[in-house]
Amino acid sequence: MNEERYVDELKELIVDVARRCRNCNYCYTVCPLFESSRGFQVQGPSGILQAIRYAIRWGELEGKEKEVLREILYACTTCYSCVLKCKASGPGVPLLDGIEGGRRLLIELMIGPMPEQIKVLESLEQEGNPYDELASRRLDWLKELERERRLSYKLLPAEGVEVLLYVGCTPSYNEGVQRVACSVVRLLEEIGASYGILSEEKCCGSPAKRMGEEGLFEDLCNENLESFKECGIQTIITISPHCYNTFVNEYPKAINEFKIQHYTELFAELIERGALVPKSRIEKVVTYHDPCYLGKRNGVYDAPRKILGSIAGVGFVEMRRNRDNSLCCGGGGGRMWIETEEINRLSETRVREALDVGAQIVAVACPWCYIQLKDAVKTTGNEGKIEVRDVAELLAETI
Amino acid sequence: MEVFVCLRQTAVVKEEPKIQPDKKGVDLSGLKRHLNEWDAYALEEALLLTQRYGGDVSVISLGPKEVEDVLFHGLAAGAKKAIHIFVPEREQIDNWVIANILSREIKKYPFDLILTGAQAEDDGCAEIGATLAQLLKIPHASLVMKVIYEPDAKSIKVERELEEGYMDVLRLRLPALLTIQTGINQPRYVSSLRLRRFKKAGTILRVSFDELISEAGDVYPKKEVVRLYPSRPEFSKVEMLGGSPEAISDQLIELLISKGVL
Amino acid sequence: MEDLSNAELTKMVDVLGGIVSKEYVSTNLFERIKNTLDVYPYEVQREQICYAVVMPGSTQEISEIMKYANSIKVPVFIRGSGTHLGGNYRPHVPGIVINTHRLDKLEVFEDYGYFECEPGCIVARVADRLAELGYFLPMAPGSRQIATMGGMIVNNTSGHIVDPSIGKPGDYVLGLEVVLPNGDIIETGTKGLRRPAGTDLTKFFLGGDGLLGVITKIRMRLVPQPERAYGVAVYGDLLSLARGVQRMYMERRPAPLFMEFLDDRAASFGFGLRGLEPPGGSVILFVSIGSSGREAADKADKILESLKGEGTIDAYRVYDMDVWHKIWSSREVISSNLMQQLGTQLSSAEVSSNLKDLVNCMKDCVNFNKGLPILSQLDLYLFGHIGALTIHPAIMIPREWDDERKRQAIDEKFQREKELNLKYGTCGGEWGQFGKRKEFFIKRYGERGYGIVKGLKEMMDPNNILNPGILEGYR
Repeated sequence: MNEERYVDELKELIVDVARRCRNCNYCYTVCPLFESSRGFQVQGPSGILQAIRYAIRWGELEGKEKEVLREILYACTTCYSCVLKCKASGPGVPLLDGIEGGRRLLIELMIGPMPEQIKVLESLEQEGNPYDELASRRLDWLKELERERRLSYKLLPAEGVEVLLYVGCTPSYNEGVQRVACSVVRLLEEIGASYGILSEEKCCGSPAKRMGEEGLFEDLCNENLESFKECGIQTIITISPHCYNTFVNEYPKAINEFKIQHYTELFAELIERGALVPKSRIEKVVTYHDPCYLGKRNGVYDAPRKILGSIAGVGFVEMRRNRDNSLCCGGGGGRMWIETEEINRLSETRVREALDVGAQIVAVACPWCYIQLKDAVKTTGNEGKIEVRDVAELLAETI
Repeated sequence: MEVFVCLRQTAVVKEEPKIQPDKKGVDLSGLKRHLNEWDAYALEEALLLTQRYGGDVSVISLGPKEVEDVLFHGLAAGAKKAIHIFVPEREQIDNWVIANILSREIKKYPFDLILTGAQAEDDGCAEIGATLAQLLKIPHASLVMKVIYEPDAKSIKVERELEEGYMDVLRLRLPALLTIQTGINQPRYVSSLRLRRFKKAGTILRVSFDELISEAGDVYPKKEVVRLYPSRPEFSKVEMLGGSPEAISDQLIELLISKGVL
Repeated sequence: MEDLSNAELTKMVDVLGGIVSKEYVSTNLFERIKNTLDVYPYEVQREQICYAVVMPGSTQEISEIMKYANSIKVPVFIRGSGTHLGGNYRPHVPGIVINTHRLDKLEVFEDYGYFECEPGCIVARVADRLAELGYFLPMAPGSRQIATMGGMIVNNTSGHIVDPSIGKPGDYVLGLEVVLPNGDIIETGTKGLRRPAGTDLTKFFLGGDGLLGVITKIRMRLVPQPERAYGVAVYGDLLSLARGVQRMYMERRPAPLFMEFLDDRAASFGFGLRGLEPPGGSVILFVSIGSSGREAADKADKILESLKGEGTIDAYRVYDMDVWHKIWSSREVISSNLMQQLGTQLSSAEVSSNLKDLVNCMKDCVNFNKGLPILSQLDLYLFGHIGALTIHPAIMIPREWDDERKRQAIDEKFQREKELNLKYGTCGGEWGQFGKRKEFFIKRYGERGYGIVKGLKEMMDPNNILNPGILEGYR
C-alpha cells in the first residue's frame, strides 16, 4: 500500500519547509494569533511549524501530546501575513505550506481534524456545504428574492450564458450573508448582465483544503469543474474571497480556461467604465477591512476601495492596519468552527480599530469577515455606534 | 484482545423520508449511505482498546454490495480483518435473522469481545446486540459509556448510562458483548484519500448468506411489518395573546394553570 | 545535571503554578521546544529541551522562581524573543525557561525626564511610543520589531548605531531593578539625570551577558528626537571606502548616527530590488543628527566632504524621503532576497576593526573565508555598520546542508572572526562576549581577565543556576 509513501512524502515536505526557517521570529510581529495570545500556548507561525517538524523528527506525532499538537496546528487562521513578512524580511519560508501540510498529515494519521470540524467535513461530503444544511435548500434565498421582483438569471446548465455567479455556501445559507448575495444579484440585474446561477451548486472545497482533507477537496474540484464545463460559461464571479482564492490558486489547471473575478473587481471595472453609476449618497464615515484571502493572498486591494470611493457622501478613512498589513478577523483556516477566546478577541480588536479612526461603517467583502465583525460589534457593546456592511450592500443601496 | 465490531450501514436521512406505496417500508432510493452513528462509536472503542492492550479488531457487516463501504471504512480506521456476509436485496430478513447469521459467522473465530452500537438509526430496535449475545451464550451489557479491560482476571468492567445521570458499573467475564452508547469517545476521522486507498487495496473476506443458511439450517424472520405511517401531532388552532406585557403574562399564567403545567 | 524524575517534574510544575498561577506555566512539548530554539540553523537536541516554560508577571514572581530553582538546583534561562544573533540564547541543558513577554509595562515620566519599562517590552513599541511624545530611543537593532528591551540591555548593544555618535544604550540607563540569582531583589543607579560617578551597581548587569542577575525594570533617560540629514557615497572599491571612513574620523567630523556600507554586489542587488539605478560601486549610506535641521545638514555636508576626499564616484545628500526610504530599506531586502534566491540561510560574523587598521581589516574581510575548509566553498557578501568600524561578512549557508556541516560552518565563522578581532585588538561590539565567543575572550583578555568574570559569577551565583553555559561557552 502506498500509504507509507504518502505519509513519508508529507513528512519530508514539512521538515524541508521547517529547515528553511531561521527562527528570527519576525513572523511573530504580524501573526494575529501571537498578538491575541501573546504567543503563549500558540507560539506564532514559526513555532507552529517547528512544532510539527520536531513532532515528525522525534516521533511525537502519535504520542501523548498529539491533541496539543493538533490544537496548535489548527489554531492558525491561515491569514498569510507570515508568508508575506518572511518574503519581505527573511528567507521566504512558505510557512503555510508547512502548516497546512501538517494538517494533511494529521488527517492522514486520523488525529485530525479538530473534533468540531468532523461534522463540517461530513456535511461537505454529503450535502455539498459545510453547514449541515440540505443541498435541496441551497437556492431558497434566490426563490425568496424572486418573490419580491423579477430576476433575469438563468438556472445553469442552460444555453447562452457567459457569466456564472458562483454564490458560495455562506451567502446561500447564512441569513445575514444572504443579504450580500441579494445585493450582488440586484447589482447584476441593474447592469442588465446575462448571468446564470448553478442549479446544483456545491462547495468550492476551500474549507476541506484548509482543514487538510485533500481527497475531499479533489472530489469537490472535479465535480465543480465538470459543472462549469457543462455550462459553457466564460467567466466566474464569486462572492467569497475564499472561493475566489481556491479557484484561482488551488484548482487544477483546467480552471484557467475561465476568467475568475471577485465581485468587487467586476463592479469596480463597471464603475470605471461608467456602466454602473451610484446614484444616491451615503453620508457616513466608512472604513474598509481588507479580507486576508482577497488582499494578502491575491493582491486585490484597490477594487473595493474604488467602489467605496465612487459613492458620493462617503468619507473614507483607512484603519491603522490596512492592505497587506490588515488584521485578520479570525474566520479563516477552518476557524469558523473552532471556538476560542483568542479568535473572538481578534475581531473585537478590529472593531475597536475601526472606531479609533471614527468610522461609522466598516465595509467588508467577505462572508466570514461579515459574520465575525458583526458578532464583535455586539460583543463589544458597540451596536448603534458602528455598523458592518458589505461593499455590495452599500453599492446596491445607491442604485 | 481480539475484538469483533458489527457494522450496519444506514441511509442518511435529512428530510422526511417517503413511505413506500405498500406502506410497509421507507423509500431509501437515491439516499446516501453511511455507517450507523452508534456503530462508529463502537468501532472507535474497539480500536482504542486494541491500541491500548494489543490485539486486533475485526469488522463484520451484512447486506448487499454497498455495505462494503462501511467495511472499507473499518479497515481504513485500523481494523485488521473485514468480513462481508453478502445478502442480496430481495431477501426478507429482520433483526432476528441478522443476529443468527452474524453469530454463525463470528463463532468461527476466536474473540474476546464483540461490540455493537446500542441501536440503529433506521429501526431503533436495539435488539441485535442482546440477541447475538444470547445466541453465542455470552454475557452482555448495553448502553456502555466506559470500558476498562482487566487482563489478569480476563474480565471487563463497564459503566452503563442510566436515566437521571446515574451510571451502572458492571463486571463481565470475557468473552462478552457490549452495545455502545454515543459519546463514549470521539470517533476518528477517516479521510477521503485514506478511504480511497483502502477501497483499492484492502481485502474483504466475502461469505454468502446462502452458505451460512445451508450450513446451520434456515432461519426466518420473526417479525412482519404491518404498517408504517408518520405520526403527526394534532395542531389545534393557534391563539395569539394580545395586549400589554402585563396583560399577556396574566393570560399566559392562567392558561398554564388551566392546562396543569403550573 | 541529572534528569528529573516524573515525580520531581510534577512537583516542580505544581510549585511554579503556585508562583505564577497555573495558566502561565506550560509543559507541553511544543511550547518547550519553541522556547529552546535560537537563530542557529541546526536542530536542537531532545536533551536540551527545557522542563517548563513560565511567564511571570512581576518581579516578585521571578524572585520566587529563582529561590525555588536554587533550592532544587535546576537552571533557569531567561528568554525574551530568543533573537540573539550570536545564538547565546540556546540553553544546552534542560531547565526552567522564564519567558519575559508578560512583563511589558511601559511608563513615561516626562516630568522626571526618564521612562521605565519592563524587560519584555518590544523595542519597536517603546521606540514608537517615545516618538509619539517627541523622544528618541537610543538603540537600533535590526530585529527591533520583535527584540525585547531586556535583551538589549543585557547585551548593552546599540544595534546599528555608530557608537561614537551617541554612545551605547547603557549610557542612558539611569538605573535597573534586578533579581539576583539567589532571588534577592536590588535596585541600582539613580532617579536623577546624572548617572553615578564611581561604583554604579548597574554596570554589573548592564551588558552583563545574563550572568549575574535578571533585569526586571529598566530606567532610561528621555532623549529628544533629533533632526536628521541623509547622505550617500559611492566608491569604486572597498579599500577607498574604508579610507573614506578613516578620513572622516581624522578630519574630526561629527560622527553620524548611522553609517552603513554595502559591497558593490550587495548594493547593486539591493538598489535594483527597490527600483533604483545600481550605484555602480560599493556604497556608504549615512544619517547625521542634530538638534536642528540645519545642524544635521551641516554635519552631513561635512561628512560628505571627508568621504569625497578618498575619491568617490558619487557623493550626495538625499532630500526626498521616499527616495531615502527606498535606499535605506534596500539593506533589509538584500538579506531576505539573497536567502530566497540562493536558497540559503544567512549567517554573519561581526568583525570589529580599529580605526588605524580599517583598510587592512577590510582587506581581511574581503578574504574572510579564504583557507577555511567549509566556508571557502560558500559565497560571501560584505556589509555592515562601517561608521562603527563593524564589518559583517555574511555567509550564505545552503539550507539543504546537513546539521553537522552547518554547525562546522558556524564554528569556522567564529574562528575567523576571533582571529581578526584578536589581530586588530578589538572585540565584538554588538552581540555579547561569551557563548561561542568564550575562547576569544580568553585569548583577548587572558585567563586572568576571564577569571575575574568567573569569580564574580561564582560569588553571585554559587549554584550556577542563572543561564548556565554562557560563561562556560559551548560548541
